[in-house]
Amino acid sequence: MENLLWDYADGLLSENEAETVRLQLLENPTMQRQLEVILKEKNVLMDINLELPNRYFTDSVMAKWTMEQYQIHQNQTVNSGPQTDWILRAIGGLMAVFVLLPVLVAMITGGKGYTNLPKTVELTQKLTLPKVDYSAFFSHPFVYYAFIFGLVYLGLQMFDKYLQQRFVLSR
Amino acid sequence: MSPSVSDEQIIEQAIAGRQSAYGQLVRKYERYVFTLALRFVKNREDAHEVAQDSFLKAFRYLSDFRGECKFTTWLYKIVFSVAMNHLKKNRPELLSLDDDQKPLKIKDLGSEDASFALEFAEKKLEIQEAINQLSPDDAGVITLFYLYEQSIEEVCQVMNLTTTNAKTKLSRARQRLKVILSVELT
Repeated sequence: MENLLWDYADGLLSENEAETVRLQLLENPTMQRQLEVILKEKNVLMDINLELPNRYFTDSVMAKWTMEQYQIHQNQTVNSGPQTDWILRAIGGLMAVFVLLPVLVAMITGGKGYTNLPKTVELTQKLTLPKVDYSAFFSHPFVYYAFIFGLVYLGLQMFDKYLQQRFVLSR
Repeated sequence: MSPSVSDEQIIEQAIAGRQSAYGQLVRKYERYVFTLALRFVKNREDAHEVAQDSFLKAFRYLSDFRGECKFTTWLYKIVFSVAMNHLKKNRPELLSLDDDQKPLKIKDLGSEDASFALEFAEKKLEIQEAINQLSPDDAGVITLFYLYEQSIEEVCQVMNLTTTNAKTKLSRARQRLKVILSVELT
């Protein structure tokens, strides 16, 4: 009987079943009292306090979510290939050419103009380190422009990272 | 943003990329999600983890929410799924007993006395403590149906039950709760 009354109170009975219970309730005062008790119990169950998570819960969830979004965005940028950052890649390529070209030239020309190495070193002589004229290398126009391109490239990369972070945080 | 903004509007804003809308959802439902997680996993530390993972999972799949059910039902379903996975990994003993292995001591009940006691006890706190002693399933079904006022069909959706199973589970959970309360109060 109690289960039936709980189901009645919870609205879980069919129309016919509910009607039957209603009729029984009209005739049975004990059943009516039982229903009253059940309704009070139900009210208590519906009125239980919700638990409170710690005060940093929202911040913690949002921090993790932001981090996840940022990582997704990073992966998309990496996977999206040359369509999105082709300018940076082109600059990187040019820089590589400017760095490699002087090395190639030096290899072809036998290093003339870059170094001033002695041809032989006699073992009996006091060992002195060969003097290398780096100024010729660094003053070479290819190297000079390669450095400039390199700096510009790194600057653009950092600026790109900064913009990405700002974009994610602003969302 | 005014408090009258509906869940659907907040969700739309979140999907459109407005980060603050996600925060709004967390603030609005953190207590519900945390309480439900606690009912399943039984300790606060794990409940924080489950609640957090549930929100993150909900956010990841937010665009899949089609509004076919209430947002809360959808969210609680995620909490249930995350909590069950958590229990399987960390506390399988809580899931190991099914209903048949946990027979009720109905004879201890003394229905009138238990109801009487229930009425006059320091109600909320004692019921809350009693709910914490229930199995994850029982505590979940009681919380969803009475505290969160989910219909029996919604409880079925959240906990992957048939209507008959849900009704039986609810009835058994209620009886077990009474047993716990009657034992505590004697």
